[in-house]
Amino acid sequence: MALRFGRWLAFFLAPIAFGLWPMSAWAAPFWPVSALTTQARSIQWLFWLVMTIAMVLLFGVLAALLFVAVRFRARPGQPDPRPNYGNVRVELWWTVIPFATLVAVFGFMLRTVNDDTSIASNALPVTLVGHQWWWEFRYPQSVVAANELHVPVGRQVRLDLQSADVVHNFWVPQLAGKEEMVPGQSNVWTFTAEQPGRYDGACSEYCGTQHGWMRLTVIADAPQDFDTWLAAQAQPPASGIAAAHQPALQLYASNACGGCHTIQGISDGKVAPDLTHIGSRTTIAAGELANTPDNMARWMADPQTIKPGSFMPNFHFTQEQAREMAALLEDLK
Amino acid sequence: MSALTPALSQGERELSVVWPRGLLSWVMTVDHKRIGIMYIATSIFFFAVGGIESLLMRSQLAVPQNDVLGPEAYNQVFTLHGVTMIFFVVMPWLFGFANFLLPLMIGARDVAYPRLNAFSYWMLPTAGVFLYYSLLGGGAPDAGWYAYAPLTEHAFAADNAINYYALALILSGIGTIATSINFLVTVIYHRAPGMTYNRMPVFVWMMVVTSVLSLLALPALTGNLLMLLVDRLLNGHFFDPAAGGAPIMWQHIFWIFGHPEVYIMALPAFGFISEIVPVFSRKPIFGYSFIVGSGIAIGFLSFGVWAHHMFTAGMPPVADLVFSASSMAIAIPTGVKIFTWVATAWGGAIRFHTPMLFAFGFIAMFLIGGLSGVTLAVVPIDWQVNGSYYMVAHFHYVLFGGTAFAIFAAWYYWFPKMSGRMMHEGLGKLHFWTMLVGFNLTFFPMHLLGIEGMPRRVYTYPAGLGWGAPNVLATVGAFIMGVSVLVFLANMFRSMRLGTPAGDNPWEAWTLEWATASPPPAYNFAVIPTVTSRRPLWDVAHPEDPDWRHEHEL
Repeated sequence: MALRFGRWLAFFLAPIAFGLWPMSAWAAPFWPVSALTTQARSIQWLFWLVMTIAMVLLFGVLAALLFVAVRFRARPGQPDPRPNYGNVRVELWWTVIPFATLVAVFGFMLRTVNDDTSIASNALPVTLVGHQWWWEFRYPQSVVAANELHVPVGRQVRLDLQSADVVHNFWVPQLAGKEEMVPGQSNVWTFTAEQPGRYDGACSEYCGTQHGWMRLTVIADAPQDFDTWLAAQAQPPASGIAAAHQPALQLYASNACGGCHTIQGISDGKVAPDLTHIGSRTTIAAGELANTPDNMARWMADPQTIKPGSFMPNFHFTQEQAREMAALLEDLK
Repeated sequence: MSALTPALSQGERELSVVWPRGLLSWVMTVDHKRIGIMYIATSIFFFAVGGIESLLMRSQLAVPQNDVLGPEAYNQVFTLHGVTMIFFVVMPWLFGFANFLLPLMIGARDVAYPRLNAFSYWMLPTAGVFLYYSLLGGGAPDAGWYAYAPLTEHAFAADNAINYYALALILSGIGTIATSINFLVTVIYHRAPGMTYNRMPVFVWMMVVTSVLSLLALPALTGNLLMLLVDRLLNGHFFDPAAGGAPIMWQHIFWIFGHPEVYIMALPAFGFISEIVPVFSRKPIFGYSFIVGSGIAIGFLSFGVWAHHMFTAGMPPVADLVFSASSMAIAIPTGVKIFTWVATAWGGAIRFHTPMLFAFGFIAMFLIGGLSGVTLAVVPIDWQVNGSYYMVAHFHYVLFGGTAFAIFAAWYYWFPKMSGRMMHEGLGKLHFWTMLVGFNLTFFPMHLLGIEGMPRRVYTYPAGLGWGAPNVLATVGAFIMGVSVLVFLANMFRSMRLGTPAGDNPWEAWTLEWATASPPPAYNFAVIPTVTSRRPLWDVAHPEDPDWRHEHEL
């Protein structure tokens, strides 16, 4: 049976013409995480463009399958229909139309790729080093932070992505796409936060035992708040710390905590998160626990139960020692 | 058609006296049909194992911060699930069907190298023993099926698990390479008289393309694994950045194997569907040369798309765009196939037996997987959803909704030929509908989870991110699929003993395997048939309008 080209063309084009724009507007709120940057919005727009075309095709084929299943179901005693061996014209059309559609999609994609990979001259450079299973952030003025990436609103951040061990991947879906952190190479990724707030992210390349709890938070601050935060992070711990936490600091020394951790002026280990200002962070253990004195004491007492496989050993602190250590760490604002 | 298969011959009677019977006859066999059935039986065993692994994963992920499995156990289970399903279920199941069908379809008595064929099969259980022996040796591999270096290097994986992973895949790869050579030589040299390339069944064509892909792609995997073993066992530095090695090289070489591998697992399924849809629509395939040509085009293109797995690995934008374009291009021949199957059914007199239900299910589900594949070929969308549950949804729509549905279609279609008995239709339909519902319930919500930001391969996830409901749905769906598989297995065991006798050609099909007895005798055809068209049995049934008159019409 001859399939008329005109009917097929209408079949594909009408829903695109009538459905595309209303549908993308209708569907936008259903992108389940709200895209909150120009970059994320441009990806979202592209996603809905491709998705709309895909939906038209999907529902077209599903409708055809359903129609065929109902209309051409064999009736009892029906003889075999007259053979139809094919139709070159139809084959060519359903080769050419998808080709043209994909060329158009490719064109839209070029624009988004170009927008998303341009680097501003005033971008804030931050070096991001992935570790099993936590994040290290190195800011200018030798500020080092972990697991919570503070950024100023309205200024592009240029991440220099590196890894200390295996392949990791930086992903904060509301802000932008993702990029791998590959040992021995440096990848660049940029984003610009537009609204103050907290944005959840995670490592999205499998990196070993605790990949599941290698989460991070981006905290976007108003520019002046960010400057205040950065200045505070550049300071050594308050001078009263040593006097107030003598027993905890003795434990810190006797258990060689400083071999892995840094507390400015006390130790300079580079293997594990910098603790100089750990009390100012909102989470511990790469996003697994809220940073409260109770949780910190639990973590000190038995990190391996909370995060099995983590490189933080269990030092078998007594409950009291754990609380003393927690008090010290919470005071490192 | 039984004219081609006379009763037991004198020679056969004599042979049966000396040839071993029972289990030993299976162990010693070099008959392509028995080897095919052993491939399939092995696949079904591993399908059950991999299925149990998936239910363990879904149990752990049903609710946030669950502790059914700890991180170490979960990571081993998802690695085993992936490796098992790809290398020990999908590939051998497809190659098992090909083993059984290919010589029958081209009118040959066996494959070109029957003993090599037996060797290839025995590599499979050997490799399976290596993979699962790791469990006894202290722990299974836990680096994912693509095992990105340097996580697999000695520094991060000191025990033997990764060695077992590498050895298992090298061994199964050797078997696959040998089989590919076997298939190619068989098709080139053992076609029946009159079976020109232009008259080969579409499934045979798809196996030719698949064999070429296997032959070219699997050595890349083997080479990669050997380099990994050199690193691990001989202190090499291929993937060690500290000594000047390149972890990114593992990714490139792995996906140079890994993307053709996707089509190694898809093209035979396309072949099944291209055989089944015409028979149950009672029409020839719409545009034979286009469906074969699109398969060949996919084969060529599949070697130029590997780096679309690496859009987030920090390649220069130009490289991203080139691989994006080639990946989009592969959608065009794939689309041609989808349209062709619909057009084949269009205007038919469709018989909705279980094989046709699974074939329609395949078209719909594979289309969803193909379309989400196009979204992933668009670089910025890939930046957003790569490495997330959206990926998990995508490749399960391709490999389960696609290939596994096609395997079930093929199962119901060719089981009568293999066993001489029909599968039970009622149970078959129950299997189809529960599978369709369970499958979509499991994997559709994963698209949303990925877009919402849930990374794949996490052993747990925080509460309060709104990921609870889709995960519960997915777990419920997975258990429905589990029940569905039990229905399938029950139907299989029941039908092997109690199924209605099938006769030579229960579906009134047209290709040569239906010209001989069910199950076929060891020699396949008493007299090698002479082929006059693409549908030899149609010509026998319709001498007034034989197919060869229409070969010029595509």
